[in-house]
Amino acid sequence: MDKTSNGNIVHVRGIVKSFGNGADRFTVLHGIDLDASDGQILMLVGPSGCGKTTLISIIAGTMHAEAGQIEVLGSQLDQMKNGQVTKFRAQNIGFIFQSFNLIPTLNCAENACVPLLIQGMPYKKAVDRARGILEKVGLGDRWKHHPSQLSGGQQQRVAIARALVHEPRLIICDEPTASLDAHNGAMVMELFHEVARKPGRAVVIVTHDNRIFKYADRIARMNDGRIVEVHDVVAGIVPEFDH
Amino acid sequence: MLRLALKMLFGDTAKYVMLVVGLFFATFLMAQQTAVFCGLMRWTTSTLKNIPAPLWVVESKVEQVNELNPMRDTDVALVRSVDSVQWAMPLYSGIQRVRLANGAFKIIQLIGIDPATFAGAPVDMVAGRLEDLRLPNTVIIDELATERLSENPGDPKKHIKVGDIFEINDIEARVVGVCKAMRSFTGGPYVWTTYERALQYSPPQRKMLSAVIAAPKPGISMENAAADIQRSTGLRAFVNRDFTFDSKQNQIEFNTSTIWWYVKNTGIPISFGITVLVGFIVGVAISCQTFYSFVLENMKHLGALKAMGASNGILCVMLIVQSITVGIIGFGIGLLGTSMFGRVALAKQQPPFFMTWHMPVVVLIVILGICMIAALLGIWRVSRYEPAMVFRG
Repeated sequence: MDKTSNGNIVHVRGIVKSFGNGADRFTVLHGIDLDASDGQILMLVGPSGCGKTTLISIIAGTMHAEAGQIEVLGSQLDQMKNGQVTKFRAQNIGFIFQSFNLIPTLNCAENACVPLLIQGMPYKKAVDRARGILEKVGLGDRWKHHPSQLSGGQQQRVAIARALVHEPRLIICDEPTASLDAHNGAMVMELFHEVARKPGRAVVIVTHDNRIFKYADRIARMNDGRIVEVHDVVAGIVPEFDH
Repeated sequence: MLRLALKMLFGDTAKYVMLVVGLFFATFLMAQQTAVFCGLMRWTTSTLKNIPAPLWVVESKVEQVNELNPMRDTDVALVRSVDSVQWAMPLYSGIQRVRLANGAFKIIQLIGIDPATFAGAPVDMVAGRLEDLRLPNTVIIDELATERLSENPGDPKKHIKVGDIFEINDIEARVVGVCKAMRSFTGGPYVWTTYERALQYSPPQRKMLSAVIAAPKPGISMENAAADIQRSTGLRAFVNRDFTFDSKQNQIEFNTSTIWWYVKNTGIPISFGITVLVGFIVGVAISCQTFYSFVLENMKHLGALKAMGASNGILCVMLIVQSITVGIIGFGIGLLGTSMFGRVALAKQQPPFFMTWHMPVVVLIVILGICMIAALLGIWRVSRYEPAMVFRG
């Protein structure tokens, strides 16, 4: 099954999540409903502590929700066992992290091919495929470089290559431009928009950076654990949010 | 993933070197100290190796070869009278004092053997003739004695050779041969002479016979012959065969009995055991601490791998491969160091060094155990790490 029951890549309903125990118990998400459509870039925006990262962690299957339905690519993550969710993540989800999380002792191609190696692909074949993706993100001639030899923008491009190398159907990005200056952030988003956005795939981005809102197809604003507004972005025109 | 695991390990040079050095020291301390201990214990049985008679008949209370109680000369005849004995000869073995040409004194292990049959004579002569031992006031010395009993041990030209003379208890001893022999536990070189002359060289006592060396008749096992001698004479008969861990052999096998006596009655095993334990603790402390710190430093990356779909199983295997790899490298270098030490020790004949194939195997198992403990610490930490943490920086 490739899509959820309503045709979306991500379909979550009534997500509730709390942290702590007893008097210290604190509810972070209050019954979140959210969809991410095929071929769409969805941005989750909102102030710090509003629950954005918790929500994408639950969508990505790296955290359990207390209540609610989580359907990703037609699979009910909330009903799967841990091992099944881990395998599902390996096959279907690409990740881009705020601090890139590249392994410093591996070169670009080795870093980019990690998702393929996790799936059991032979090393040489995986590196060859990663080199192909690195070509697409403009780092074809630097595949042997180590992360420390690259700029922040180049490192994030390696992270994009890593997120795309296994052709995932859902890409989860956590503040992909937060560690980059304006110029590099724009370059990375241009590239990302170009190589990641395509039919059959959804991209969910958590960001504070309003400079990149124009790359979204849809923006959902969160506050205090709730989605308070959802806007479509048409022709790169970003809507004004109520504050 | 295993290749990546090794690249992650080798890429962190400081931690990698620290781990290998820790395991090298652990291996070296454990293997070298155990080999020196075994070598030392082997030295305690050197008289049995240098006088390779199949059966040793000694006074009934004797437990080890370096502490022989005197017997009557007639005990030789008593042993000969036992049906299962083919031959039996007297043997003198005792520590005596030698006066060197420069007036200094050194101790020797004096061995007196039967001049007619030369039973108990040196096996490997390197100079001179064994038969010359029948000439008056003659001795055969081992290679160590050529150096130890010389005026200047540091000068090879001054070393004792065939034809030289020294004094044992003020009685002249002329060297007629040099032989190879295993070093004694006391450090004194071996000097062979005839039984009667050995009694002349030694201060007189009422009973002077140290042991009767014997052999069983063809077709009779050494154990049965020893049992027969014990039953018939009331003396204690030991079989001269290599050390074994079989506790039953303790009562009948002289090497085993001698070594167990030293193990039980001296602090030597405790002293060496403590050093081996220190080696183990050094290995555990350095390896576990360094590997755990390596895992902690890589936790962010391991967490990212976990988020990307690497199972706990994959990460466990990665950590085990990393720890076993440093273990094998550290063990290899440690064993190489031990071997080099052993080569030098054997060439110089000290300190004692004796290594069987069991020792490296046991040390390897211990080192891999240390690595598994280190890996388990990391696995415990990684398995508790929530992949969602990677989104929180």
